[in-house]
Amino acid sequence: MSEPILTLDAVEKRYGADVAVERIDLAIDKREFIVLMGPSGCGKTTTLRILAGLETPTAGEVRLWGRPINDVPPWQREMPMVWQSYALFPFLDVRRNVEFGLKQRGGMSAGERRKKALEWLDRLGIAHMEKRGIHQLSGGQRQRVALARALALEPEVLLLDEPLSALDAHLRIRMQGELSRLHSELGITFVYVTHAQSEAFALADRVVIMSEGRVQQIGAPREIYRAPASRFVADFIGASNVVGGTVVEEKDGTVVLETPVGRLEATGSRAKGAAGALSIPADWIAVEPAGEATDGTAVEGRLVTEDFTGAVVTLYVELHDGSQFFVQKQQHEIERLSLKRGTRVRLSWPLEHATILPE
Amino acid sequence: MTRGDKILSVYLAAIFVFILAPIVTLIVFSFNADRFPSLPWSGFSLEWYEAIASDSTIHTGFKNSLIVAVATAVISTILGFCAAYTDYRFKFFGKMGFLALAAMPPTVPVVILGIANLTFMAQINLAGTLQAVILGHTVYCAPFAMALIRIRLADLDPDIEPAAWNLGATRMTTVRQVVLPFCRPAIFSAMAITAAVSFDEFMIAWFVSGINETLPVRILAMLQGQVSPRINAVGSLVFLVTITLVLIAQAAVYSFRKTRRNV
Repeated sequence: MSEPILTLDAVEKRYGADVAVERIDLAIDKREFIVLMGPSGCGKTTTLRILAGLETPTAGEVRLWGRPINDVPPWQREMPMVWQSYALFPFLDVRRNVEFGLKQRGGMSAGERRKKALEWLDRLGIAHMEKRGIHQLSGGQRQRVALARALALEPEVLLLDEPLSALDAHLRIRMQGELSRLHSELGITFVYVTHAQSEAFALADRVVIMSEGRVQQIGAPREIYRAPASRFVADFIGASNVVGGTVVEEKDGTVVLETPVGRLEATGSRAKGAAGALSIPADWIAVEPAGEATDGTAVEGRLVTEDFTGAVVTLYVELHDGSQFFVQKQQHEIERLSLKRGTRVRLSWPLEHATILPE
Repeated sequence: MTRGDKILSVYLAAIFVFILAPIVTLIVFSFNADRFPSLPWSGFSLEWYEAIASDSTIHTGFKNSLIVAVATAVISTILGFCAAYTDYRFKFFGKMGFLALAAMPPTVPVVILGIANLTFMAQINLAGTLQAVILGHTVYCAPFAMALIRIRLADLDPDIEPAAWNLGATRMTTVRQVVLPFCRPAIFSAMAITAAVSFDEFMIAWFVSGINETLPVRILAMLQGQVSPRINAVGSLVFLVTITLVLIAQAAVYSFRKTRRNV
């Protein structure tokens, strides 16, 4: 494999007794779209700021093309960032905002700078706004100016800190498409921070799930979705039902867990007597009218509510111990069941999709 | 207009009359032909303005006040900006103490400040010079400049400076190209206000100016001699200068609006 463009080697950031980033090892490849995702306070933004040089790690090393850059000040890093607040210069017009970085770098005449700025504004579809003040722009337009300002430097790495979080849902989807397009057209490395799963999964080549200053899992969106590496990731992704229990049997790559909802089987291996959690993806669960006996890959419960969002329906089913399972189905798949609140249903799933989560 | 609105307008008008009546009286009588400020008015005259125009002590006082006001405005605003920026950009031990200290001079009674200035200036052989008045006024005025610029900086998105660094601007360049332009209205406003305060200030100037009288000190000297309508004329001029500076400051503050955060 080729040399990574950016390497984080046991990077740590502490503020006194508080740990923002506990220890991060990460290698980012050229042209990769990498997304750091996690709940607020997980250290994702701190990690991004460490890359930008705005925070100095208290331990570990950051390398760019193998060269340590811990001591390189932010203004020499050439890794422009798109800010959550956009951080545009309010006293400069749109074009001068975009020219700011080029002006700092020097070596370009005013005419060349202007031309370059207009090129990028054009590319982002806002060239006609070059003379506007920042306060005259909408959120989406500001976002484009912020992107143009960063990209005008034609960097190898672009950093993005929750760039879409201030936009409304509709605009967010559009900008998501735009970012995806820019990434594939420009062939530069995007390091993107977000707490929104939909953004991460839609955009990323690889997602880094973080929690409490640590990396929980790194992988392609599909991998993370299908095989969460820990109970935290499974809960955070929220695509699976997670049930905790104790292993009572183990043989040939399957285990049986004693759980509050009954004895359940799972693929994987874990010593007898150990605690374990089992994850069942919500879209692999079949719903039938109750009746048939339950077994290691089925449970019975009562329908509590259904959540209808267009084509996909989420059913919430309460089990006998009071806990809930959720099931995601296409609308047409459950129509024939004519479910009502309170209906007793049987939930079952293929054994190979019930996996025991790594500890 | 509701009844409440009417009461409020009358109340507001009463306050303005109360505040402005003495000043209006002063201006009106500065144009009175009679030498005694009594009604009825005995006719319009520029006599007293002509009198001060030919009075060399008033010329000198006016010139001194102008020099002191301009120097004070520039120095106080630079100091005020530095203090405000320090507060905005840095976190350090004892910051609260630093800010309290920086904001303290106007809270000290001016008589005390005047005496303290005199004692100190005498020690360093500056007593009786214009430089001493400038120094004394700077001590008094810098906190006003700091306060105005701090208010402006509070509107500067904390990400803006890091964004400039991130785009290749060093710390110094960022202050020059980002922070100063952003603060420009507050800086103008601070210069105008500090100039106005200095131009008006009597107590510190009285203690430390010695023979280099500023205009307010000159006015008191004139008052102690004899009550002359010339004082009305000088007073009107001082008022004109001050109110102009205050209006400039207001106009600058008004221009803040356009670039406020999240607008």
